[in-house]
Amino acid sequence: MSSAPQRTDELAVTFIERFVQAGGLEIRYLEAGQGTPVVVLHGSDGLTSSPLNNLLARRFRVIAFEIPGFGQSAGQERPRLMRDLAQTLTEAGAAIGLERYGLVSTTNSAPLVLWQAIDAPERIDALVLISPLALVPEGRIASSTHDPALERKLGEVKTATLVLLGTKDEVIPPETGRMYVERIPNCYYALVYDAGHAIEAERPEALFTAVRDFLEQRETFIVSRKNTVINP
Amino acid sequence: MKASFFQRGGYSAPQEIRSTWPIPPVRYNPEFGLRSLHHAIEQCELADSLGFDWVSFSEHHYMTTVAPNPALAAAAVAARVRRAQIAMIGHNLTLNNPIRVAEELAMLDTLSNGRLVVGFLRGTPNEFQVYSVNPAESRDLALESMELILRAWTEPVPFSWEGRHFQYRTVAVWPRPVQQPYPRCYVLGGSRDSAEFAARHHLGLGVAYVPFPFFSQLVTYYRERCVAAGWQPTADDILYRGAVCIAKTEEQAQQDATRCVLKNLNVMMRDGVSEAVARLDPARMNMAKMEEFSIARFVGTPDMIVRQIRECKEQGGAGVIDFGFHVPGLTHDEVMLRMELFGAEVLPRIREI
Repeated sequence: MSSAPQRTDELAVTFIERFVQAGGLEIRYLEAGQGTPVVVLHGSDGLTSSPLNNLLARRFRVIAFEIPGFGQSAGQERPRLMRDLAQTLTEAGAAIGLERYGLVSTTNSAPLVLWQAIDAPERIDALVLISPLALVPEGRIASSTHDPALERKLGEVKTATLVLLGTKDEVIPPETGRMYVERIPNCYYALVYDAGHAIEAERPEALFTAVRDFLEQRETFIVSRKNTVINP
Repeated sequence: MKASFFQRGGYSAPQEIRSTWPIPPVRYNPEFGLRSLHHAIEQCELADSLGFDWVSFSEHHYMTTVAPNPALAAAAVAARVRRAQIAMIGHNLTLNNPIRVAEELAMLDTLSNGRLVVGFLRGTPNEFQVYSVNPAESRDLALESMELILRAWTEPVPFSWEGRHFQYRTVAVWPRPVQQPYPRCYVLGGSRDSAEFAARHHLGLGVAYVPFPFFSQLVTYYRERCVAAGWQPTADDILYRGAVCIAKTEEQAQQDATRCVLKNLNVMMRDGVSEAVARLDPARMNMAKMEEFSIARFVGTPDMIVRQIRECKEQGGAGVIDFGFHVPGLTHDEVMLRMELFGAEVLPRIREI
């Protein structure tokens, strides 16, 4: 059945603030929606109001963790290794009662979701990496979140993965998308037209459509289910 | 200066057809159509033998150009024309599936052994109706199509496209162009959008039929945008398309030129329809008001035309001119004679311009 594009200017969803203990840390999170759980990790801006999360919460049960070291979790001493921090977040999901969920990252939280997929694949239904900063093309300067150990293990990510990049992204070189496809066995790559690095801010509806379809359909999201009948 | 022969297409019938657009199919005679397409190929072969650098093709529907699929015409000619570049100027992006365009152009580049040149066009207002395209969306459709075509040619792994007007979940074009990363491309248009897109993507700019002062303004803007994008275009990056009316005498040439106004080209829509399209089309092109606009820019004796070509270069910096010889009412033999006159007395003299 075809679905009309949803508008972000519809009524915003109310997220409930909660806290969970994991890895010796108190982790804040926001939750809204019902149904299939989807864990969303924020980028460098921290846990803020999110058009994508609002749209996702109309379809899924959204749990948006505040990554230790950000916002209200800033004062705590967090694990230094990305892999260990990822383990803490997996434990946080388990503590909430999540058995299996979709996992979405934004920019520099990509290494955290990838480590979760490597170390706890039985929990992850599907991975979505939005404007990910986990891989760096040769000759380019690595970001602070670049993890060479992760890069060597990407072939172990068996979870269906979708990488999304904006066609006008000036932060991530255009050739980066193909690097994920080449390294992650079951990886798909989507370009969001006319969006820069902050896809969610510029084209939230298009981003939501792709993320929703991939979380619900995984590999088969490439099969069209559009209804083109104009009149019966 | 490079010279291109614009194979605009024609309909070799005993009597000229005059009609509002669309021309009813009942007026088409398959025998004349068969003759027309073979004439078109002959003209391209002549152009090649005369020394034209390119032979070019465009897309038009429901009219006497008989050219709804320029890729087919270009493929037929590519097998017969061995030297000239094959210039697809080109698909109407608003009417075509951009993935299909990317595939067809890559096939053409392969079939022609890497001789393809590409022009991206939005299309003419009357033809948005052909595949029920909303004129209000034509600009955005064309811009997104161009971007997608370039990506389809250059992404080495399958990808999905989440556009405003196109959504494709699996794009993996085969073949890829012989010319890497892709053939020389031009963005055709008289708008700032066209110039900006061309500059941003390091593509050439093409302009059709406008008076040279306006051509000059567009090129100036294009050059400014190129500098802002970090590069400088050369003469080869600037293309002008115009009709040529050449004759031994100026009087004869002017007679030909009088037939090159829009109202004689079978593109005028019925009353009311033209206004409706103009209200919707972002470019606000009201062809009903332009019916006296002429596409003939190179008119006169060989000497006069050489001067006009020089003027086109001086005012707009064009390094390539796409010449159309198909004046309404001319027979195939008359077109060929004009081409031969041009080939003998103009072509050799414009190389150094």
